[in-house]
Amino acid sequence: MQNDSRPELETIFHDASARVRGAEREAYLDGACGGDADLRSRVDALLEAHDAASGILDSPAFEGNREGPGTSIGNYKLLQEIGEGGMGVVYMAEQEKPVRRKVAIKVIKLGMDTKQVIARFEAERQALAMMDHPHIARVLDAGSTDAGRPYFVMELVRGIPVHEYCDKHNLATEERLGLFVDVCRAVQHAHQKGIIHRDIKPTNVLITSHDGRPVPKIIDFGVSKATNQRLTERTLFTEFHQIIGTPEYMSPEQAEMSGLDIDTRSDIYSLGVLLYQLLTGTTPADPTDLRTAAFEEMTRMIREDEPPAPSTRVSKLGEDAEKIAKSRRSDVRSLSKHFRGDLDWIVMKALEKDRTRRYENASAFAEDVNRHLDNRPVEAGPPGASYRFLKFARRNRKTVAASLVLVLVVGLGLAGTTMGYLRWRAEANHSGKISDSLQDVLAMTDATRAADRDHVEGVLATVRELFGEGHATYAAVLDTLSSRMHDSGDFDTAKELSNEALVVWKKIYGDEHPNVAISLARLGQSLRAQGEDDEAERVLRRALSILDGASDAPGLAGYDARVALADLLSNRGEYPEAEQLLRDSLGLLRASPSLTHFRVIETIERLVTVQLNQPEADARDTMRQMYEETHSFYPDTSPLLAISAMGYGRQIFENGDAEAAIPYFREAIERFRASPNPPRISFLAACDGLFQILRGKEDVASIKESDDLLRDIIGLARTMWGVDSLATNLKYYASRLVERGRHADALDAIMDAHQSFVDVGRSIDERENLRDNMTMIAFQVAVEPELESELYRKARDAAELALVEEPEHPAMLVALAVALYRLDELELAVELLDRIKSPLARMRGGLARGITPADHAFRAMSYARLGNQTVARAELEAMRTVIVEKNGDRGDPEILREVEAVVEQSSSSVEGE
Amino acid sequence: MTDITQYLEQLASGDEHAATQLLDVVYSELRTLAAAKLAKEAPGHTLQPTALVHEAWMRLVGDDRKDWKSRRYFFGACAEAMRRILVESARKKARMIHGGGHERVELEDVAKEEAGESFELLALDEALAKLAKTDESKAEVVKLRYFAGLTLEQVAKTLDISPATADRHWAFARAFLHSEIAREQDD
Repeated sequence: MQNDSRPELETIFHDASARVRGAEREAYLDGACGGDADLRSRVDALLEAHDAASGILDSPAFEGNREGPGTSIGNYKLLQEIGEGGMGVVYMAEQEKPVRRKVAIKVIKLGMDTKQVIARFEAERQALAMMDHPHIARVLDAGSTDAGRPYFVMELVRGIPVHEYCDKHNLATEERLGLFVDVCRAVQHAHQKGIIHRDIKPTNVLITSHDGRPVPKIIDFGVSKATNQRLTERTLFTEFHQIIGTPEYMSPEQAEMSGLDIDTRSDIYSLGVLLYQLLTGTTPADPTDLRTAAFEEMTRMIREDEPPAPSTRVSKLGEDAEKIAKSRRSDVRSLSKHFRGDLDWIVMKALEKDRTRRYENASAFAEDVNRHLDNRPVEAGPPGASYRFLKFARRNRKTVAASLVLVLVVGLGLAGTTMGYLRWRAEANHSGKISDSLQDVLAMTDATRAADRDHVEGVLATVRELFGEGHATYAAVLDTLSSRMHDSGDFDTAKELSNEALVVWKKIYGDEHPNVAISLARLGQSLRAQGEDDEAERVLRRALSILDGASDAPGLAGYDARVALADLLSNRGEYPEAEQLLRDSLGLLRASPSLTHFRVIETIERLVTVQLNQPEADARDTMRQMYEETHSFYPDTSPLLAISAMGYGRQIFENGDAEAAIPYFREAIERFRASPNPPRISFLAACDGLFQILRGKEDVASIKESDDLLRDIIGLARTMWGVDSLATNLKYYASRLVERGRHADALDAIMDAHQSFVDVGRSIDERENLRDNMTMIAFQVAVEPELESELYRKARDAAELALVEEPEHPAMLVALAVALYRLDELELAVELLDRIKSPLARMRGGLARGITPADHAFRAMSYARLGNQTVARAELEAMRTVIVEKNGDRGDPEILREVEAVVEQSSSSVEGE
Repeated sequence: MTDITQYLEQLASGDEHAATQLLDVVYSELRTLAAAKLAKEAPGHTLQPTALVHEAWMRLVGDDRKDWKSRRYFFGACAEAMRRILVESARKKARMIHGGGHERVELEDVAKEEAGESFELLALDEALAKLAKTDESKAEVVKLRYFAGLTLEQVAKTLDISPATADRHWAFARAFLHSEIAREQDD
């Protein structure tokens, strides 16, 4: 297409594509294009492409295909979907290599940190591999799909959930207990290998049939730990206020998130719930109650409500009771009676809120069930009076319901992934803890959704409803959303939200509270982003003065405000204060228990920038810190290691200690060279630094190294330098190479320089200096006897190139003639030499001076070899004269001996004829 | 290091020269990230550009620099860097398919599909260069959307144009590029 820029093409395209295909569009096109057939055909082509269903552009490059039946993940071909849960979708899949077999693949929903999931899985992989039990489905592999989601490959279990199986086959209580004992044994096996399931529930205990006998298989071992440290909570909510899973099986300590590690006793609790369900057909906490309760109520129920004993529960089930009893081949009365005593006690022991009172392991649990089956006295017994009192006391313990809700909501196990800057909240007071949790939740929400105003309104409405407008939680949410909106560039909304948060905080805590300062810092960042620097400065300084006055301010609270203020000041050129603020920020970070290297590095970077802007400042110490931080934090292959080594080296060098800088430059260069695509500027800076140091040295190794460095520098800087710098450096490089006898490389370099001038369209006049250099180097190469003829050809080409631009330039004629002589083109050499009107020695100009007396020398040799002894001898004489004039008594040049030898030899051969 | 933040600031203050340098750093960072990711993953696995770009942003710039002005340059550089990386790898694949590589044996099975994609990507890149010559801003929209994986809304914000303009640019560019590619294939 030649005239794609025709403006009417675009207009017509848009107008036409807005019209329905067919007559209407045709009519429009006929009118719009008139008789312009060319235009019409181009519009048609565009419209055809526009209407086409799909093309390469329709999904971003590299975005992996969605997985689904028919597609593959790794070596596994997905066959069909076999289940979908809160965590993700499970597929039946076929593995082809190394063995052909069917497996189950669980693809985790988006929204998790894949790297972390896989890292956690890898950490447990060995333990998982050691788990070998007929009732445990093996986890075979884990990885990440094209779209970046984590997936797990498991042994395929064709079974149905244990409770469904039991009801479907009307298993009597004893048979159910028998199956349950098997499950306990399998769990015990895993616990002995150090693996906690964390998500035991009926849908994770499948029953398969072997020779008509039911065999339980526990699935998902290892998956829950990897996908989340608190998976049971995770299954509760995929997103803020959206329940998708079931909280019924969660242990109180999992709900509490009190920092208590989840241990094997959490699985015991879940086993207790499972048993409760197998016996009564319901879970201890009524799922409907749980789901309809407000968050607050729900967490309270899990943590505090004592469930009715199985016998009580069964007798109170009403209409359902009959059905449940029937599916256990019993009636309501006998069932209730059957449960009373042993089974009530066993189940209730497993369901103790206090984990130290539960069965100490799954094996003990199984044993007690077996004792019941054998009609032996069970270990579990009725709770005593003092024990009841304890329970009462605990129920009335002052709790902050709100924090529990959030604890639950947040059961997203963000521990490692949460943004570092929220960390300090955990160090803060109680309300700080609330906001920490909430912020974590919000941090989880999809960034693009959170950036949407409607979503923001939705979250705010929910929180208002839950806590009321005057609640600290509401303010914390406002702060978080403000920072979200700021991130997405909506500074106006961010400011609005921060201001609202300020009002709430002030109402609760007064004007001088750290939380007020934190919102102010937030506000200051948005003001700064909009260029309202004066107002931003006022707000940030106010935030800092509050924090300085507060004795209980959390450690890192002043970090954001300080950094924002430092940015502002440094932008304005007020470096000393900016530097002090950044030093303080760095101090805060380093003193914080939640130190993150990333933020330390970031702060050091800022500090360096500010210091480099102050000529008198010594940035050496800061650069050293940077060097150490990057080396302890980034992987060995990271370009940042090299960059920081370079930076530190330069600081040392610029402060006058060249020798001390050398190892850092060397390290940087080595790392850059090993990197497939090093950042050029920094690479260049490192090479240049080392080159500047080494060029002053005269030992062979330094000379060689600095030659190589110069070559690298030129290669790196080629596209960055202007053409003049490039040419100058190439010339310098070429001249160094000639000194080392590296003629071919020197010629390449100089021709390269010349070509770069040609490329940018420099005129012949502007190329004069380069042409002279090229001629000189060509001559220096050609004059050397007994080189490879390839080199002479190269010299010839270079000289020719020069001569083309200045056809009668005597020195260039000579240079070319010398090269031709070396190539045994004697006639051509003579022809060129004869074109020179007077000897070079009589001419001005550096080039002529550099080349003389080669004109005489090569004329002498050429004529001698062509048989003209008269001219040859005359030229030899002329040459001797010039040498005396030029060199005085500094001795004869090398070339004289060669000429004498040639002239002598050919005259003797002539005489001999 | 200080490089990247400096470049962003230089760019913000109108120093266009910093663009090349920014691109350099971003390119090498993305390459490193991409290589690290690809190395870890099984053959056949590819990358998610948005994740890569985000990671690069976090590593190079950090989460405190959130102004869109900086992001604009950064995403621009990312798009260009991703384009180079993709085109490079497509070229490599295309060469191998022509028999130049050493891994021909494996390649037989690697699926013709992938080969097709490589050629298509190269064709797209050519067409895109053509578009950039006549209409830089539309090419910019395509780069950000296709190579950096931004949504049209983000593209609009990044380029500081209205979403409607971004839509129109995209519609036209998409049609233009598809028709160019089709024409090349017919020839």
